[in-house]
Amino acid sequence: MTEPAGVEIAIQNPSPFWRGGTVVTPWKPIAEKRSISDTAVHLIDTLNDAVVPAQVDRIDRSDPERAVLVFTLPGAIEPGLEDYGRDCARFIVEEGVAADVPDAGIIDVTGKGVKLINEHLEAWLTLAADPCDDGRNWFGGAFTSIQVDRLEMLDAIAAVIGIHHDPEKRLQLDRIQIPRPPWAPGYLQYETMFDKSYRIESQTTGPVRASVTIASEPFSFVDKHPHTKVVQEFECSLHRVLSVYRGGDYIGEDVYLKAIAAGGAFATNFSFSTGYFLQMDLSLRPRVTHHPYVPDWFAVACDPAVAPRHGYAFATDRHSGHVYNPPPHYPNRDTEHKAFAWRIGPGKAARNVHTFKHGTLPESLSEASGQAWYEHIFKPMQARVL
Amino acid sequence: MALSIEEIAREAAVTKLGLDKAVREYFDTLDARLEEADERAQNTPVNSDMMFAALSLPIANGLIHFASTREKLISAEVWIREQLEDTRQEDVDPLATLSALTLIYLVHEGYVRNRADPKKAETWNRMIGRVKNLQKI
Repeated sequence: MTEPAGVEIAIQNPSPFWRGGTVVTPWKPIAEKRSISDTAVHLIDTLNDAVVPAQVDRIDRSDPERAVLVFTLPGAIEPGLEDYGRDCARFIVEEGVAADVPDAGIIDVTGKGVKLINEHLEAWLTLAADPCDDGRNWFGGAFTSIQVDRLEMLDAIAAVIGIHHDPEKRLQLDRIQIPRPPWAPGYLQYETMFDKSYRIESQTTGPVRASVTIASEPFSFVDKHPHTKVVQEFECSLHRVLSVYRGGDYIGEDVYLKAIAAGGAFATNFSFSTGYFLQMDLSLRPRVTHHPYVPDWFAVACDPAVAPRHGYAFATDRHSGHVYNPPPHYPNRDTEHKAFAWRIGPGKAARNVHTFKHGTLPESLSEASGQAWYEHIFKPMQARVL
Repeated sequence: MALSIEEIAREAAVTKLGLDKAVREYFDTLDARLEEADERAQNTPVNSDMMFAALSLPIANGLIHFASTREKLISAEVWIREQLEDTRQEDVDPLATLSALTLIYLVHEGYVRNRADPKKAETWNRMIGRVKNLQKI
């Protein structure tokens, strides 16, 4: 019997129902099993003798361990166990490219920002903190335009009437908090991110998704050894992996905080918590759905009487705190109804999904948000190397 | 002396909701959207006045949400309930009433701007007639 040319993997469906979808799994265990070029891969569906398009995303050029294999299941697979204890399908990962599969999206780097584009979404991400060079230095890493089917979601009411767009509209990771060691003065280091510019760390496009990794301009974190009192300085940079998937109306976001010890002695990842700010016109009476017993997702919908009945939904693998509308100390009474802020709890990484919809109702949006949380965050499909 | 419906509409849209600045700034777009609603209503096989209302009320409602503020909307809703004190309060949807008054205001403002334009006079005369007919309902 000849050995297969690739690496066999098993897929676990943690749901009690047939399910398809996208699988994102670390590339390293596969590459360790057999030398496969990561520039062109596909999967063989042995049961149906079919080729499944796939891609390997090198998320961080300086950290090969973060590379992931990404593919979409060709169909629904049978129910499995909630604890991922049962294999539900098998595939072989091989070198090669599935024929005639166009890229799922485009990463368009232009001027001071980058556009993430798929069939439905066109999202403009500002890299520069002051993109217009006019002193408004609070747009670092912000999505300042998000169009779904060519309708601007951040200012949809004005867009439907056909009038101006709010120059302050945006979705932004605007601050982080880094816990200090218990022996250090001050419990947290607060770091604003809205005033920091970002650079592109890497970008990939393939048959499943288009991704860009952005890294913030560095900032310092100082620690002191509890016994020797020797000061250790770290250069930190917030990394965000932003992805659009084929046919999806959402943006996937993975966040991690990279810290390099002074002199480059070693690199590590710090725990952190993040704050988000959203300026989006969801009518004078937006409806927030946020369940206290499942605080990992929420939805904010427009008053259903107002066209185009749009909304925003957020899901995360951490707990999301209270959704403030307006945020405390928001300075403008006239636009306070458009301003939202929330924080998510601490951890070494965060996985978030930002969904935008129009032509929906608050109840439908919250259902979609809960489903996005379940499928992408809480119970995603998983793969393991056999 | 009792106020006319046009005066009440102006009071609602300008004094209470503060929409006049946005209307001044975007009158050409708003006029174009109302003209489009009128044209579509004209070409519909059902009651064209009702169709005009269905197409143009979302524009008025959207304008309130775009250009007013929470504070102004709350005070406008209190005011509209006072204006309709003879009506059973549970029958009153203040926001829907404010949207209707805003539409009347927009049509009257557009009519004043466009009535001397021979290409547009017919359209705006018809729109004035439509909102008058709707007031009878």
